[in-house]
Amino acid sequence: MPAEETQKNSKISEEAPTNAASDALNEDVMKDSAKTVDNEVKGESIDLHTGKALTAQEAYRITAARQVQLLMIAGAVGSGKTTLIASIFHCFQRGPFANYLFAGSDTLLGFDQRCYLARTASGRSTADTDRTIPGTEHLLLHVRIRASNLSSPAKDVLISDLSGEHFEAAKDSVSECRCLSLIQRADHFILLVDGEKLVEPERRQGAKNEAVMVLRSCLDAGQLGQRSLVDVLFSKWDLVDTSENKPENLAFVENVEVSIKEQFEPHVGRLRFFKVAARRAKGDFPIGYGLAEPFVSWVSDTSDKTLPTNIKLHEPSGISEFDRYFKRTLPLLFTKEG
Amino acid sequence: MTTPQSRQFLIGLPAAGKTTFLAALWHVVVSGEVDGALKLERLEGDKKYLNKIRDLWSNVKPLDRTNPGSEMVVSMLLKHPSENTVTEVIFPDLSGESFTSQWTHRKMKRNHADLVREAVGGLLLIHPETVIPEALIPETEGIIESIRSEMQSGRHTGMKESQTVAVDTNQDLVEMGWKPEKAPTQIQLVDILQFVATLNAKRPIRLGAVVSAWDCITDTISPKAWVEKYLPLLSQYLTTNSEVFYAEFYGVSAQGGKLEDADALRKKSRPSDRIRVIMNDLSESHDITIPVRWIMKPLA
Repeated sequence: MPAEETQKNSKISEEAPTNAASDALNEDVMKDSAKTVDNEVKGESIDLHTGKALTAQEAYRITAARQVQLLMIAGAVGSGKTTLIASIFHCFQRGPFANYLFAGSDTLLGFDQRCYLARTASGRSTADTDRTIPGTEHLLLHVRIRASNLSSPAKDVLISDLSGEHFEAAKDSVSECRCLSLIQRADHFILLVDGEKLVEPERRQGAKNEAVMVLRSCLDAGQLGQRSLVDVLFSKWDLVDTSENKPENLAFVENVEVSIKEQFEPHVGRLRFFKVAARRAKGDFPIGYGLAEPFVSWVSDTSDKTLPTNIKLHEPSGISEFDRYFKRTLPLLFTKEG
Repeated sequence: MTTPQSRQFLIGLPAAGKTTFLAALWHVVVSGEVDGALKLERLEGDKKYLNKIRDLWSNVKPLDRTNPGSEMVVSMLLKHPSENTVTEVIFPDLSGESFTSQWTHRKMKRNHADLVREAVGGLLLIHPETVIPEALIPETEGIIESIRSEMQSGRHTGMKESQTVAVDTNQDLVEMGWKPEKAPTQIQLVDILQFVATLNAKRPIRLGAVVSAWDCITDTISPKAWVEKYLPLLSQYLTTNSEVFYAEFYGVSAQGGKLEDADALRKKSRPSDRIRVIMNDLSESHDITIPVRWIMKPLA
């Protein structure tokens, strides 16, 4: 078999890209560019991996080969989901982040698109992030990272970049929520509560309600449960911290935290709260403020850590090698027969 | 007996100094001016291109930019100074646009892909003055605001290109659409190296990371530390992928200075005396074959 053919399903393919049309992000730029090259090197070139955000099907190449941490970033439209993702990449562009080093990515073009409007190269005077277009299937960003001391092999992380409309639909309908099947597979469910809304008296109750209803719907749809690791992030914290009515706003944030804890802590594996400013608009907050601490656990903690210990399986007699391996790996699940 | 071949890749974005490096390399191996350097064993094949760029380089004249249509594969039959072995070293001299195109259009010319697959190692050239940094708006608000007010008052007198970035006087801070070629240099280079890693199954692949035009760098800094400081994403990628790329860092001033200073540069009777190769311990040499000898070295 020719070498090229063996790579059809790997990162480099001989086939023309078929998904280009479905990627809504700056599709025209890519189309025009591709046309030029096709004319130049007709039949004389090979296709390289697209570099764009991956579809779930494209991500299978990674998930099938290696253990992957999947981070589900949830939140209302404009709550800062894409900015959070871009910010993680901005941090790695400056050096090690949260004691991890960058080790590669299959979606560098996708990251670059998401970072662009925050750069001076965009010609803007204020930073922004391109809205994630609802309906795009290219929703997973990939990054490989490795501990700074190189003590362990690199880890693969997939980060979802679903549009806020999905979560707005999910909070209103359990059946819509069930469609977001990635949530169940996710190692971490990261819910953003929009800090910009929290400082506005006429919008903050809505921001709280949105967060509560997304969690309620995910629980009722069975997408979240006892094994789920849930982090609630108060985004755009720079706006809260520099707000005119800071004490009042902080009290409201406290109120949101208590309310979410009371309602959901008993029903999920772990529930934590963080204050983050992925990219400051005000004050003196560094890029990725507050992200390092949760990031460490996003890339290392798996839901197995919160596996309930009160579920016991009886150890049958004459168990197979596979069962013995299973028992060694998860001893807490077994009790002696009889 | 067939002469062993050592196929190498030569990566660099536009104006990274690839052709200047090759011109200086050809001069050194042909002239024998540098003790301990690789030397030309004998001439074989057509060396018109190498002789042409060497003449321009040695006379301190600007070298023609390599265009996508004028790309060459050059070969040199070289003798190792101490080991007495003869190897045919093969480098493709591709245009920087070919590499930009890999990043922007996600395609690689089939003949280049074949060269990458067969290579035992290669050089990555980075020109410090053409690096596109990642300048974030929140961190340059002060600069942008002052430009805006200076523009409005007609006092704007121009800034360094790296500072102005996209603040184009014709566009006056208008929104400009994303184009992949505007991506920071380090992102583009990491992806190009990822293409190499996917195509080339050898592990590790020897990589000489060459910071060219070292005469522009005024800091006392090692080449490796320079890459860590100005291209941290690339530096992290090479650190974490040492089983894929066995990298060594060099600073090289192949021309010895700027073309504007051509008269002064021409005063050196031996053109190779203009060459500066800086190692990580900050020691210097005129031997531009040092990075080439390193990537040719068989892996233990």
